[in-house]
Formats: sequence, structure tokens, C-alpha cells
Amino acid sequence: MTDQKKLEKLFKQHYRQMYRLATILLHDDAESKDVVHDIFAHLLRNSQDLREDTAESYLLTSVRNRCLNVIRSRQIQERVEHLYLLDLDTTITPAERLEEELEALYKGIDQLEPPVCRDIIMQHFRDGITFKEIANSLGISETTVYKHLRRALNQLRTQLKKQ
Amino acid sequence: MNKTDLLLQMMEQPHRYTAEEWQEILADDECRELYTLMSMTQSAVDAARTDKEVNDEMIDGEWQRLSSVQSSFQLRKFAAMFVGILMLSGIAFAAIHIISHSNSHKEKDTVAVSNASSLTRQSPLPQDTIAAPQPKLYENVPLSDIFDELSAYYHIKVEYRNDAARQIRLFYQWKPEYSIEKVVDMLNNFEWLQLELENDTLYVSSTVEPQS
Repeated sequence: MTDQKKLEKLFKQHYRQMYRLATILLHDDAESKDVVHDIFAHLLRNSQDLREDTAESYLLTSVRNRCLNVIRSRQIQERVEHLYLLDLDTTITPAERLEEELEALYKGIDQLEPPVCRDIIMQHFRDGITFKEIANSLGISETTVYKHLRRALNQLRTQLKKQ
Repeated sequence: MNKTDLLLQMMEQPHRYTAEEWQEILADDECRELYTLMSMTQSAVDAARTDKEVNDEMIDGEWQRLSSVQSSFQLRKFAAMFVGILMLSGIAFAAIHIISHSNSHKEKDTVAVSNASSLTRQSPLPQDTIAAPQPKLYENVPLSDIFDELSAYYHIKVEYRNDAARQIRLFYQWKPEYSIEKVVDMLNNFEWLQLELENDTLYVSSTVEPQS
């Protein structure tokens, strides 16, 4: 098999996981695609002998390192804008633990009460709507939105602690 | 306004605040915890969306994007290389005849045209009239094929220190006026190739891992 064919196979095999990890760290679809893209572009230019049994961990480590480089290169304001994690080296938990936590959080979102808490979380984090816009559309003050949000996050924290 | 409200308000327009202001508010434990929780919530929502959105079609599309960019990158790289090679070769104009071959050729009258600038093998023997060898463009040709031809031309022996070296494919524009030393210099510009000329033997090795 040629290099290109081999890499195509690896790409198709590991794309999902790599892209998923990148979005977890970068919270941005286009940037996450670019991270995976750049890793394979590098591999295509510099042929390396990737062994099948170690390819996955090599590729995921590459994703992680590239994402951390992206984050480190950003000013604090940009980090906050993208909601990057703050303590990169200490809080990035092992992959399995991270997966459990994210799953617990996502399940927790579904169970948020009252429903307005869930709506605010989904509108802000899924649809990218600002708190101000949410306040306007609900006809409530921003401070009230913050109150609902804090309430929602408290419930999510409890979910996480159950882990 | 309490401090978490302030944090949330700041997060709506992060660029309106200085790095110091950010550091100050995030140094507060409660604010930091809230921020981290929001960061993780964002990750959870993004991961769930990714799981839904990524399908084979998108993966194929991304591979297409990669391979098309890749081929234009290669084209650019080779184009740049040709320009480099043309510039290098622009000065040396000597037409080197196949002097060393002439033992096997019939003697004919001819004029040796040479400015000898890069010529290291002058021969007292009569020249042949075979048209001067033409420049040759090797396009994606294994190194071993290139050297099969060049070793006969320069009368050198080629030894490969590893097998991978034989299989490396090159785009290389060769011109008859190049001395063997020059060819060695040029090919040494490929980072994964290492060539050494000792007497009449050329040792070739490659830093590329052999591919299965």
C-alpha cells in the first residue's frame, strides 16, 4: 500500500475521534477541522512509519498538542471568548475520565429544572446566543438570566460530583 | 452586582476588559469554578453535536480537501525546485561530450565544445559526433533508475547504503553540463537524501524509513 493509501485509511479510521477531541478543547468547528487537516498534511509531506497499534494514540496526542499550542498562543480575552479551559496542564483529565464527565454533563443538561434553565443553557452553548439576546427574547433582565444560569450550573456541578 | 454576575457580564464582551482585569476576576475561586464549569458545559455540548454531525460524507469531503491541497502543495514545491535548479544551472554552459564513452565509439572528426568551467574529466581522445546529450527531466522516477543512467554517463559506481534510497522518487532536471560533483551537491539538497562521492564510487543513503 502506498503512503497515501495508508494515510487515507488512518484518516477515515480516526477522523471522528480526532475531530471530537479537537472540538472538546477548541470549541470551534472550523479550527478543529484545521487541526486534524494539518496533522495529516504534515504526515503526507513527511512520511513516517506509523504503526497500526500505536497510530491512534499518536494521532490523538498530536491533536491534543496542537490544540494546546493554539490555546497557549491566544490572549486571555480570546481564551475567555472561546471558553477554553484555564489550567491547561493540570485540568486536562485523562481521556476516559473526561469522556465520563462530559457524558454526565450532557445528561445533566437534559434534566435541568425548571425548563427555562435548560433552554438558557442550550441557547447559549449550542446555538451561541448571547445572554443579552436571551434576556431580550425572554423579556427578562440580564441579571435574571444570570440567576437561571447559575442555578443551572449548580445542578450540573452536582451531576459532576456524583461521578 | 455580585462577582459572578460581573464575570458573566464580562464574558459577554471579553475584549472590553484588560488582561489584568481578567486575571483578577479569574483569581477568585468561585468565579474560576463557574468559568470552568461553563467551559466543560461547552465541551459537552460540542462533543454531542460532533457525534451527530460527523458522518462518512463529511470525512470524505475533508479527505478530498486534504488531498487536493496536498497535490497543489507538491506542485508548488516542485515548481520552486525547478526554478532553483534553473538558476543554479544558468551559468555553467559547457557542453560535456561523452568523453569517457569514446573508447567504444568510432573516431570521427568533431570539435569539442567546452568552456571547461565545470569540467573535471578532460580527455585527450577524439570526440564523438553523437549529439551532445540532452538535458533530461526525471519526473517521479526512482532514484535507482536515475543513477542507472547517470552512473554510466559519469563512469561511477553507485552503492546504496539502504534499500529505501533506491526507491525514493525524484523530480530532477539533469543537464549534461553538470559535473558529478554538482549533481551530488544538488541531490544533497533533498533533506532525506545523503550522497557521498569517494573516488569513483557514489554512496547513497536515505533518511526515509522503508515503506512496506
